[in-house]
Amino acid sequence: MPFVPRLTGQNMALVAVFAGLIALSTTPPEFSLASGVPISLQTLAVVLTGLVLGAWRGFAAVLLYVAVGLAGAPVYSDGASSWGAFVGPTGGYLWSFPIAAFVVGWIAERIRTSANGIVGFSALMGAGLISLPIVYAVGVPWLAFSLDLPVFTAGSPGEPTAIAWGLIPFVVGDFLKVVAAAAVASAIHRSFPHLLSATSVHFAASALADEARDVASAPSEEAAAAANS
Amino acid sequence: MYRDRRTPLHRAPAWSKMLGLAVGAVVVFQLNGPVPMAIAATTALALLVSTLPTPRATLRGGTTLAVFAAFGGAYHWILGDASRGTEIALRAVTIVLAALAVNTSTSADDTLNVFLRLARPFRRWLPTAAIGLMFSLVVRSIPEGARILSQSRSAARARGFSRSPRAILVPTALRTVGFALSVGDAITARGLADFNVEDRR
Repeated sequence: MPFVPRLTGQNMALVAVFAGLIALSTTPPEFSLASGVPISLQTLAVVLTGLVLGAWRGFAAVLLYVAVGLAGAPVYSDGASSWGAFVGPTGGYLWSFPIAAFVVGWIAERIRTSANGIVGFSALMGAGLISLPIVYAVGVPWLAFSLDLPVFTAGSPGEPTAIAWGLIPFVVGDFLKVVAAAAVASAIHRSFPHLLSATSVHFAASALADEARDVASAPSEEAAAAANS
Repeated sequence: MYRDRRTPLHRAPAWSKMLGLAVGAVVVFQLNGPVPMAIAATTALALLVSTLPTPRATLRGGTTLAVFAAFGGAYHWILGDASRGTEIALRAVTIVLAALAVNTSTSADDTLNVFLRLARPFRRWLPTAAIGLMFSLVVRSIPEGARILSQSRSAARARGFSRSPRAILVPTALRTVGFALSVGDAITARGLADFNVEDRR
């Protein structure tokens, strides 16, 4: 597989449609927990994008989503002003998403090549879980910096820290979303087995085209028989 | 959020506003003390007002971030450092106001053109036409995804699985991938993906 997937119609469509899927995942309230708290599926969609499309296309899809949002489409969560969400206290989470999709996708591609078969659910989940430290590693320090909070330890016990605001409330939900993303991704890979090996679908199509051309250009047996008689 | 108006900020080129926002965001982190921050916040407010925003769009775009600013400020107030709390809250508010000013005065087309210019050095791998095509595909795929989601949800409800995320998410994702592949075929069939034909055999 080449380092960067080719710019085929299929790759462009997959990147664009997954960017649309991430945008769709932020529209509230798609699902609510048993307690009735609505949850955003943004993390799920970002991890799913990496797991399904691999490193470069996943990265491109998330970047495209961010760019569409900055251009003014209301695709960020809470319908916030796009530039405000980008440079505001919670911007770090947004910046981390393309990186997270890239890393998750990179690992997912390695699973595919080593196992040489169907991508398993647990392997996908392992790859997806890598996204959580990446998202928090970018998001939490930026939250701490822009609001001038301590990251880890508070001066006195009971004081809020960036971890307490920007990480702990989301860990369980994000973990469950990664599990869900892995389940969905493994279903997708079962149905579309060549999706991760970026170019193989294209090559399969061009191989078919080659075959068709060979059949068309080869002298048919009837023609040969007619020439002989 | 964008309204077509004729204010100085509307007429300024989009790249200058983005650069200004970036520089401004760096500058406000260098300022210390409530008084300089109050000046910065007033400047940002003046910039926002100069773009003649609609009150509804301003409220919708700024509320969440203003809440964050209030929390950040309240935290230091509670700790007894009122001037620091004011400074932090004002800093967050400044950034939000300046960002809103960029949003209300810059059209999607102008922003997109800046992105396309930024991507030009990479046009050997990612032609400008491809980016434009993908942007419009994103916009097209959102309603399609919403349609697929609502159909999957009705199907799950009909089978009595309306509370199961799996019964909704898996069919939605599978059909979305199917939709993407068919769009990809359509792009290929129309020759829209032939950016580098000579490279392709």
